[in-house]
Amino acid sequence: MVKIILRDKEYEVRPGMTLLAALKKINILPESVIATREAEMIVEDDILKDGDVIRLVAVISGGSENRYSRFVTKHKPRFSNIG
Amino acid sequence: MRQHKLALCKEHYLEWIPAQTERFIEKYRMFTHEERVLVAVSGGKDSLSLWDILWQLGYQADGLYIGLGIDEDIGYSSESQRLTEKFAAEYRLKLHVVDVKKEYGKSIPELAQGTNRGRGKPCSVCGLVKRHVMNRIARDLGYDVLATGHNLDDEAAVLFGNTLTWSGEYLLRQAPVLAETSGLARKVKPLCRFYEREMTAYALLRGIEYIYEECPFAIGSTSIYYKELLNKLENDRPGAKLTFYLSFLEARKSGLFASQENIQAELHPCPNCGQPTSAPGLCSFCRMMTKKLTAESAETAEKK
Repeated sequence: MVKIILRDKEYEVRPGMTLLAALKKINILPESVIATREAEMIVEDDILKDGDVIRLVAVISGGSENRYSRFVTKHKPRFSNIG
Repeated sequence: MRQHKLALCKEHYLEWIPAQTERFIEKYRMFTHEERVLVAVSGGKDSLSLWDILWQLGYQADGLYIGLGIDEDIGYSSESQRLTEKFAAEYRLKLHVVDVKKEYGKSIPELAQGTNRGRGKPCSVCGLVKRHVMNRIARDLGYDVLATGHNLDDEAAVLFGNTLTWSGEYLLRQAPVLAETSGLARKVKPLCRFYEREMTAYALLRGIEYIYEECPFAIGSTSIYYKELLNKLENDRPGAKLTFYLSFLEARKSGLFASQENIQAELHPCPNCGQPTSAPGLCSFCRMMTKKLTAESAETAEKK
């Protein structure tokens, strides 16, 4: 099996699929992470092999110097339906 | 990089990012090699990468780290300061450090307590204090320009939020360069056309040690929510985020909005700190500090 780690979460997928397919399988947007194998960055077309441990680096960070309108900062959206 | 239809090896990627940054600096006339740049550095991937790139390109770039006093359970501020100081020491770069608690008597979470801003979350107070400090240091120390590490995802998320509510005033202020005005330093965002993913890749490939943990107060924030929504769009339509932002800049340029000069004409200097503010009287920062001091004096008198 292939182990995929993102922060404190671990997933397992079958070997032989591409990184892109594996990310889709575990419902992670490729745009939101960078994948590494043995500390080397890998790309979406790379085939995952049995025994691989793939560490995902989350790319999104929050906080911004730009300002939203007052409406947006006062009325927070709901998060429950975000996958 | 599907949005550019481009695939690069490590070596060429590490050349491509600085080369593109220089192209954006020139395209938007951000600053020249003769000007002194103050880079606002948080210890995160974007600001440290920006400092690294400007150093590689030979710009006169010093750093400014603002100690926010956000430590909670993970020592967020102390760790980000350590990483920033380590980076500056390794590259022998000049770093200015402003500690909010030492300077103003309270950390960001403490300042946020009791104010109406943010309603329990200090992000709004944090933004206000950072903007004030960054501008003050840039002006006081004679820097020509203040550079921040905002990437395209930051810009697209803000644009998205302000478009949802058609917040014209905020839309008008969003640009790669905000021109210098009386009391307000020129602000630039040299990374504004790079995806957040591209900047993460750059930091990792360059071996830049940055704070990976999120600010504890940013978890569940609106900006992250919008970024996730835009990433879903990007996943289905590669290049959508870039098109969204660049089309906005193009619309601005072609006169869809009023010119920046018209907005700046309405600014007034704060009678206390001198920084420009949109309404006559004290600026938001000085109003907040005055209120805080008044409340504390009343509390002390009550105890006596």
